[in-house]
Amino acid sequence: MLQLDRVVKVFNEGTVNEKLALDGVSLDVGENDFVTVIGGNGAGKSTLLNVICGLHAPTSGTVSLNVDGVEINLSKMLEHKRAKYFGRVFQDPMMGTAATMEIQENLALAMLRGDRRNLSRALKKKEASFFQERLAQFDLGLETRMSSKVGLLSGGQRQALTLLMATLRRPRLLLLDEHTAALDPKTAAKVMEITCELTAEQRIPAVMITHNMKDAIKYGNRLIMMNEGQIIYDVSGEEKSSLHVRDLLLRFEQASGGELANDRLLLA
Amino acid sequence: MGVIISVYGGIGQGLLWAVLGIGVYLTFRILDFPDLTAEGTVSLGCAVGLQFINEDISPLIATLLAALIGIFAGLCTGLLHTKLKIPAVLSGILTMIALYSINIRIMNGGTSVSIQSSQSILAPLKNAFMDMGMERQIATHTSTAVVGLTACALVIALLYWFFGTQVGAAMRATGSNERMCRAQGIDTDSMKILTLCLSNGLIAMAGALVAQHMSYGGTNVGTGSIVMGLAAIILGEAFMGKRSPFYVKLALVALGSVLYYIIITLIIFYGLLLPTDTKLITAAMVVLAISLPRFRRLARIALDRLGFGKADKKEKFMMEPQLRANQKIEFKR
Repeated sequence: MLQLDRVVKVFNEGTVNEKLALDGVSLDVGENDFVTVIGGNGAGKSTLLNVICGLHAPTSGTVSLNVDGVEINLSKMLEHKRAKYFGRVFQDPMMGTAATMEIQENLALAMLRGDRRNLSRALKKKEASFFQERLAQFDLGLETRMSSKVGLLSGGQRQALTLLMATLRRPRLLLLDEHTAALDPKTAAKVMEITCELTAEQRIPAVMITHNMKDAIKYGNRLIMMNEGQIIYDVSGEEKSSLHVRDLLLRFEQASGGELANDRLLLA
Repeated sequence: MGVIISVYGGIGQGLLWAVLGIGVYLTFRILDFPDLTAEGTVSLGCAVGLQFINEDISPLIATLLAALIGIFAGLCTGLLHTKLKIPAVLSGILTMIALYSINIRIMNGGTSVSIQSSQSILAPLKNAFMDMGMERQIATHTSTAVVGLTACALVIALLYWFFGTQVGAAMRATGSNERMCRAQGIDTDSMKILTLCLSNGLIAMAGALVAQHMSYGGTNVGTGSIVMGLAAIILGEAFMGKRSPFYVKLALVALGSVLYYIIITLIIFYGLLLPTDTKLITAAMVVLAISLPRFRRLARIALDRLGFGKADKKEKFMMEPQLRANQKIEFKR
């Protein structure tokens, strides 16, 4: 459904700071895929998501999306125009919501993702109760604080809200960039639970970057390992579910020429 | 008695300038964009409004046309910033300085224009009040206050409606978190340009109104207006609660502008300082208002160390976000 064809991304091209972030990545994400992405720092994981969502334009190669049988080339499409196809959750809980606006106002913004905004009321009564119902599902007590400013919420609550905002209108693909990395283990588990709930409920395909190898194995049906801008391991189905952290570490060492995985990967 | 009449005049002037304060509030507070175009836009509003009146166009229409032309000044700054990637402050300064030349062109090569006071938007009201038996000066002040109050009420009502719409909400969100906006499909560049247009339209309108009140206007009227707008915002924010609805916030900015003018009027009335010293006073007021929370905190810490501290830990913790919010006025980028 989502296709990346030999995507190359070079930052600061032609300067001393030149950095090859993506080195000819080809990837096909299917309609029913939940892909987890792992790799060391600077492997190109975040760049991969950013090229998909349009924050960065690829230096060469194409990104395209199959929407109901029609192939759409995204490479030239601006970030806010692509937003109708993608739901996004960031690593930083502050990133996905507008802190100075109310919970329900944030949801109303998300409700219009991909639509032209006009001069009718931003927050309609009927919608407000719908938002309340959806939030009540999470069991976080947010449904009673609909007119509270989002800035007053905890990181976990904000990530849960961002997840709901990303999936309020069913996206073609959900992009999760280490969205539990900044949370404590208990909250992270809760946010992962909500992630699974939301993606399963609406059958939303997802690409999730994680530093946690156990999570990478536990969640999803497909696992990708990246190193130096390339996909070095792509495994799915049976083979994936029988993986152990040990196998991944071994793979990583082989692929990166005997180098040890970095501390964050080991500790995870 | 004299002081009361002077203060009454100050209230009227403050209400006319309040439209500027509200315009500045849109960029500084809602968009978080320090827009220095304002200085040029005020004078633009003066020049355009007065020249149209001199062409025998009705003062109301001349004022609205001034607002319309002001929108283009905002558009210019917005395009410089979003399309040519020029930093916010510099974009504003560039438009401001370009407007200086343009304003002089509009005024046929002069640096100021004047009208007969009978041509201004205030004149019919003033005459009506005088017919009702008011003294000339009181009638002038009353008409100023009525026009100022009407302008503020209309602007606040319009903005309250607008910021409740889908586009208005997208504009507020752009000022709050740009990355999130683009992820939600909002064209943040357009939203910035739109806010700058709206803000400068209001600022030019304020310029046209003030110029009619003085029967005179020119390149020097705008000087320091941005800091004056800020002073109005900061004075108004002293009364703002965290949960104040949007229209109350705008009304408090207008109140801030009135308070500012009362202070300035009193200073001049008692001959404490020269009228030309007001800019210095304005700058000092803004500095004081911004730095006050910092001093208060330092004082509290000092008291705590000496063992006189009253605030328990929880209270101090609750205080922090408010302090930070107060300090958030520094220029970005």
